[in-house]
Amino acid sequence: MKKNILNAVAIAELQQRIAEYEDEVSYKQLFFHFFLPLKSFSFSITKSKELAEEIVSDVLIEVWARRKTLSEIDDLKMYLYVSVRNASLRKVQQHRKSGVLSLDEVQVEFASTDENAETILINRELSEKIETAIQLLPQRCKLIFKLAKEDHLKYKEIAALLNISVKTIDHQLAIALKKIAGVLHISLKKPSSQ
Amino acid sequence: MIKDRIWTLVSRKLSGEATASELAEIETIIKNQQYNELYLEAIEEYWSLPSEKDDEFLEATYHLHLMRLKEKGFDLEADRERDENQSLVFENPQPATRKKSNIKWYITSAIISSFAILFFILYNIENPPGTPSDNKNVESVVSTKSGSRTKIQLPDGSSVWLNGSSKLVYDNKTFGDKIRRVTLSGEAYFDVVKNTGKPFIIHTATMDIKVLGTAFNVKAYPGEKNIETSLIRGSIEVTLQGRKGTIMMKPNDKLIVSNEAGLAENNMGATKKAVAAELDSTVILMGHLTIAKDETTIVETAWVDNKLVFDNEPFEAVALKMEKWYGVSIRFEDNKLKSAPLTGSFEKETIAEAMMALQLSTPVFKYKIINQTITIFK
Repeated sequence: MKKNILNAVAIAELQQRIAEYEDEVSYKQLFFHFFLPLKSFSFSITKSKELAEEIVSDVLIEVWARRKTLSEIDDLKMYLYVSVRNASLRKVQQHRKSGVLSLDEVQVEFASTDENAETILINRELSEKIETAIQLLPQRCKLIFKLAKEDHLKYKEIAALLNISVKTIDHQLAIALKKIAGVLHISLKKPSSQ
Repeated sequence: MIKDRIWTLVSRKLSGEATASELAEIETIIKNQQYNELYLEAIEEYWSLPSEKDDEFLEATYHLHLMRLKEKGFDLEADRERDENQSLVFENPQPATRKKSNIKWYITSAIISSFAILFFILYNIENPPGTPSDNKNVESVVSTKSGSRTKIQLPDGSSVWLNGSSKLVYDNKTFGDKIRRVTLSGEAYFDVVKNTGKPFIIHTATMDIKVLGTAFNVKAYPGEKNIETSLIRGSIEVTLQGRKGTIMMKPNDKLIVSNEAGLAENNMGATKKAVAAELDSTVILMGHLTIAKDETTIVETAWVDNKLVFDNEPFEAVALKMEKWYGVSIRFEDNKLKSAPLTGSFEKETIAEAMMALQLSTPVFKYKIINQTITIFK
């Protein structure tokens, strides 16, 4: 199954087809598209892969269970992320006292880059160096970077999800990119410079 | 300060958040050589590096997800054969408490993941990637002459009706190993047996169609202006060559793609519908199936029932259909007649009877039949 990044139109189409035709193929596509990013988002809160998988599976079961009223959801992507966030926080709350998302306590894991993925400027070695550098960033910064880069969330979506301001996102992403630039600075020589 | 500003701007650009003036600001900064463009390019490239694909994991996880759905009373893929893995895991079904079902979820997850990994490893040992598993490919070719039609059954049980002057090719040896793959030239109606684990892919000269289980018609004759895909039920995913992304089709949709660089000509008659907004209207048209006057026959697939049906179609298009249907060739001496709209339906009529019947309809024309060639004139 293709794992292209689905745009909003394509997601809305899947949503409509699940609602109108109970289309299992569309449901599977939705699962394939969202399972890993949602799992990884849940993991950053629950810090448990098993728990994260169960939470995402539950949220997606709910999507099928309410398929007849699925069209009522304005933004399915945000509905999924918010549901996963809330369910993850509830789970954490059962174990600990606080049910508030603390961005400094999240644990962020990145999807590994495709082994064969190389570009003109970025070879495998370089992308590994960059990934190592990003791993050293504060958790808050990593989570925001991940949601923007891997999950393709909009700033206002990240802001709503993590309850932070767009300004914070600007700031944190600048930190991450600066870090990457630091790696590139060592690895890439400006052609004209001596 | 300027250095931090550039990173905020570039982040915005990469996230698709930058305004036009912010994009211009980046250009200015680069132009003033305050920052090396190469870094920015490298960062952009890094940003869009694809993540690792893990379809095996997802397939296994989806299996589990389906089982959990079933526990809650939602039985998807009910008609699908149960996977061996599932019976292994659920030997002793017990009234599951919340806790137990959690544990089961963890364990089955681990077991099925290891199965998936094992299969993957074994598969790759037997068939190292990049080397063809066997050079002795056994090609099955089914072809029809002009004027004849045939029905065949593929090894997986799927049925294919092949219209005149058409050819279907598949590899007897590898068909259904992982993918059910066929190549089509001409027109065919497919009734594909559902098997979610083994996608059915049809290659044509200009596009590929991926199916999971469905019935639809593909008309892809070389030399004809348009390629048409008509979906009766289920859902399919169409990939056009040289085009990114896929087009998803719903039942009752008809997709028309230009076979050449020019325009996709709309010969859908009276039912032509608006072009889907995101499609490139110069090459592709999306419309609906045409229902004939009897209100039960679908024009696009009538040939499967041995009916030649046309609904408000130009004489020229009807002539093309009749050529393939009767195995004749039809020539126009008068070009004006080519665009005259015709409606009709033939079932058991001979070519002579059909031509006589056509003469009774609106455009006044004469014809002569010499051997297998029909000439149409005023």
